[in-house]
Amino acid sequence: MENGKLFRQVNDFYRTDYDQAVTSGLYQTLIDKKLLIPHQEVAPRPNAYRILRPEQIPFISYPYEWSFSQLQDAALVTLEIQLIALEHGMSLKDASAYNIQFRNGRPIFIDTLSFETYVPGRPWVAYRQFCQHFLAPLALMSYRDVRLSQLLRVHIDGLPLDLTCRLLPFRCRFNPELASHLYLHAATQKRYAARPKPVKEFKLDLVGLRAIINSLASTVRRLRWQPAGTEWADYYDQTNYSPAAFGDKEKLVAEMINEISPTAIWDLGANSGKFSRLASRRGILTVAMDYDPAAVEKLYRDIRSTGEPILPLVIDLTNPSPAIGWAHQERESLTDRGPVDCVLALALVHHLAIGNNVPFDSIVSYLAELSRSVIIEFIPKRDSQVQRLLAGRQDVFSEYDQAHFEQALAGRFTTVRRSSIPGSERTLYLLKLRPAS
Amino acid sequence: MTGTRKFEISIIVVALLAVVVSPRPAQAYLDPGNGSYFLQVGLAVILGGLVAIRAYFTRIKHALARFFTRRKSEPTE
Repeated sequence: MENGKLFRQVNDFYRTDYDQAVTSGLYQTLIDKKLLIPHQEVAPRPNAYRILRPEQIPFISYPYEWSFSQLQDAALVTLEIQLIALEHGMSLKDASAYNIQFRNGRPIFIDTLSFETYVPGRPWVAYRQFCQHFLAPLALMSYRDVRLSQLLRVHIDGLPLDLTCRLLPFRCRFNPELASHLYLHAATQKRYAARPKPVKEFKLDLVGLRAIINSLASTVRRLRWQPAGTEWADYYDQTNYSPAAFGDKEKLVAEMINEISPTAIWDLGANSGKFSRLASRRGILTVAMDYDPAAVEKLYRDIRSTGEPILPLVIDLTNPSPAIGWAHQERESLTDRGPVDCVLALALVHHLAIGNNVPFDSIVSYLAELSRSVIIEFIPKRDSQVQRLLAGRQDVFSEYDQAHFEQALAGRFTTVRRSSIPGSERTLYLLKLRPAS
Repeated sequence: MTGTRKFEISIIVVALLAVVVSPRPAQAYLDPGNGSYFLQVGLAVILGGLVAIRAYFTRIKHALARFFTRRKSEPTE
């Protein structure tokens, strides 16, 4: 990194591979198909063969934050790249899910230096990694529970295959493809772990290698997950809005977004993304976060062919992604990926304050950490959504009211604008962070 | 019998092996690279072989189709 910009250094050791990737046309083909992040060669340095400046990804996300289809699309992109690479006499050195990022709603490969010359006869070195990073979590999400993608947070190099096989339903053993790539794979891993053989002894031809890649692709494609009966599915049908009021809320939020004119915006508790897209349709980079995988999945399916600069992510605000990896430094926490110009916190506060017992002051101070300006909605206790949260529990929230809310806001933010949403009892606020004194 | 069906049947044999060879938790943290290579070689033989067989069958099918079409058109000429 230099001046906040990311560079890649091509060392002499990698010279022939890099040259082949360029001259064979592999780089150009992948960039043209929008599968690989474009890069520029910049002024070289001593001790480096080349210095590359890849196009920057404005917001980095991680596989444990992706919905089912995002992970699935990322897997298919990886395999597509491997097949194209083989056509150019090259092969991927690794098939890590962290090599994929999302840009304008589509997965894209970012590790430009991950290609090596294909040596005929050699097995794919990244096969194990592909199965652990992609196939294993996708199978668990499809056959057991979509929430199992969170295991990727704990297992930073993909899910161990033996663990995956123990968690999958018994019937999966009889699925020929899963049996090959997961069960047999786990078994041979264990069997041969203690008997290292020189790599030269393993030989397979290009036809066989391609057949394996194609088999992996069809296995991944066949996995399905349908979001069903999620608690949010009927959310907008049950709210306190008349249709007119809903239109008014949209208009107000849009006006507030225009007033701030942010370069980037995070929508916290984005649900179906209705309000996130007010920003992304204006070309503003939008990260739409929600803890419900079904909502994120639905939003991703809606936007994946529109090219809007929006990134739906599965994030639980009450327990957001921490910094993980060696010395907590390999993958950034959510907070460290901020602060951002603007945060949308619509229909959120009551879930945090009442649903999760987070005091107003804590909510406000976390928002102050995340963002320079906030568009936030306050929903009074009388509202049916809040009543729903209070049903079946003791109402210990004597200070949950607009006065206390505004008092907490005043601690860190200046209220630039305050508007009641016509036809409802809710209030929208446009806030600007006061500089720390 | 189509190539796909043959594929499925031979893979079921593989799958049965999977039931027999139940994976147990790995005791040591060793780079399991060897196991993956071993499996790849095996799978490549099976899957690659089936690709070849499928192509071979298609050729036979076409040859037969050509043969029968010629026979049919002869009497009318």
